[in-house]
Amino acid sequence: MRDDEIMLSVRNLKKYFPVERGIFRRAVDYIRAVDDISFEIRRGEIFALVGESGCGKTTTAKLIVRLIQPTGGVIFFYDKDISLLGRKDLARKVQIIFQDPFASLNPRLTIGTIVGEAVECRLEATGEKLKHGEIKEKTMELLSRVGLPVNILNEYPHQFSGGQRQRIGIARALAMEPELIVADEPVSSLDISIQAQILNLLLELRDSMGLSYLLIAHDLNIVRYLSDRVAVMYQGKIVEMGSVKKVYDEAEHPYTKRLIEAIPVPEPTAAE
Amino acid sequence: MLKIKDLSVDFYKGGKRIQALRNVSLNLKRNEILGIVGESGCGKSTLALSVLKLIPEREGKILSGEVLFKEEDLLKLSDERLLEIRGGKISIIFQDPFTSLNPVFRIGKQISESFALHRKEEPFTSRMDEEVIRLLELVKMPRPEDVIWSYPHQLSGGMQQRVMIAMALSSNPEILIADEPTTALDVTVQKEILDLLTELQKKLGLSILLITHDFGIVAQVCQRVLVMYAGIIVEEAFTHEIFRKPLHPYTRGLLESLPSRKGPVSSPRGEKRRLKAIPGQVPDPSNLPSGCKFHPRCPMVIDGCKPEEPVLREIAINHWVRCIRAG
Repeated sequence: MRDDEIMLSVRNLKKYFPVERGIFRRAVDYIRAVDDISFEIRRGEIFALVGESGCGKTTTAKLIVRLIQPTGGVIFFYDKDISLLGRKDLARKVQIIFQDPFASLNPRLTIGTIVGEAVECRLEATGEKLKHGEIKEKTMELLSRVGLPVNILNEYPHQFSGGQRQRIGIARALAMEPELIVADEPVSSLDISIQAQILNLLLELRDSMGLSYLLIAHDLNIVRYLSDRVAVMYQGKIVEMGSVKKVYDEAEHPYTKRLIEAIPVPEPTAAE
Repeated sequence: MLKIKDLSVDFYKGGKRIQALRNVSLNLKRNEILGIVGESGCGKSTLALSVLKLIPEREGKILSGEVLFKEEDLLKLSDERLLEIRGGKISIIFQDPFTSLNPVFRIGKQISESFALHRKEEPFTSRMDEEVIRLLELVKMPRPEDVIWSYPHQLSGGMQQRVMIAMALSSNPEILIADEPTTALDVTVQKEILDLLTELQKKLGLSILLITHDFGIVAQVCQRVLVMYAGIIVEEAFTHEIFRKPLHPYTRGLLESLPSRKGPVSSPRGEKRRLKAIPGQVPDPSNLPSGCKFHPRCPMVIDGCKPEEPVLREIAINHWVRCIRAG
């Protein structure tokens, strides 16, 4: 596979949510959460979707991992339409990590189970047979890969800080050995000193495992630092797309300009 | 304007004692926007609440210290006198405007209530409506005549925060405490609210204590800044000074871990780009390390950092830092 090959191709994707009225729940109108967007992600690329709350970026993420079904349009993973792939087949290729590391880990399961289940699922999909001890070994390998101690298999999510939980979520995603990771606001609920740690981890994993990312974010400084290409979403549509340098330095759409001007820059401008 | 001296606050949770604030001292000057920056759990919100004695008695306790406003110690005032100052001379706005507004009353009624309370006037008169509209105009609310008849859920987050600011201003305060006022808002709305706060500060001669986790916000609106870590102040300086020459390793680490607008952009693929991260994590407030609270994460740590908490020293003019290795 060449490095520039197109991995994910989204074509004319739409998701309309009906606004229902009356006892027959007749649809009187539609909210166009995602309204005819198209973009491509190449192998090894970090592609960012930015925009403000309600612009449809999280809906797009959910459509790509098929947590919800689109109203229209197709998504290709290489040359396969993902709606024709089985759930587990898709999960082996595309994984998601969520914004809130508190809500996305089952509080009643141990870390060993949370990550181990994903390891088993991966084995099931490939048809490999591994003994119990080997699953544990693989789980520990994943935990150390994301910078966690390996002796936490019997502990529960509440015993960990936000940053550590996000690492657990990443380990679980990696267990499926995906090629693309959809990261929906992966650091926005973390403290600043921890944000940089997690962003560095994502970069390291890309370099060592050749992962691609779809990064969903509202923090434009982070996107600028991390991504190769960026698409700006506004009211369900992509209003501008291009290399980070082009979008940030030569923004054409008025909304993009407004968004970039609003970023608080950590350089003092306040009156003395 | 406002002087805090050696304020210490403890919380009790599940039988454990949590040191939320330790010997915090600060001066808020007239016509100043003073920023307080730090990560979650550093005590910045506790500081805001303690100033107005808003710490619930069952959960926490102010151990020592003074909060002086015009020679009066707010912590020793009678409840009636405190009520006059709290929300009167000193107003506060919070992070989430939606939970701060009552969902079942119209906006006009809520503002006029706080207005009437502080001016000791009858609420809900037609003169009061005019005053409320004037306040909403002051905070640049679009179509204030319609907004007074709206319920909170009908307004966007930014408009709700404008309502909160209007309520806070209804008593003609001299000091405004803003606790993460824009954290729940989108960036473009955040900019509007910050612009509004700086404009109001100039127009009304307010002094603002702005609590935030975002150095970007500090850079744009604050003249001076205090950096907190694990309940103590680790650095204090003018904003341009702290960005130009951060002296505490924690401040430096925080500033370096921010992806700046200048840094390397979109380097070619394959090339390694990394942020400078601070290793480790914020200490458990019920089990703080000895000596300098930052020493387990500090890249410059030496043996001398471990036994004793360093004192806050003035290293350059008006630039204070709590680190034995600085200077």
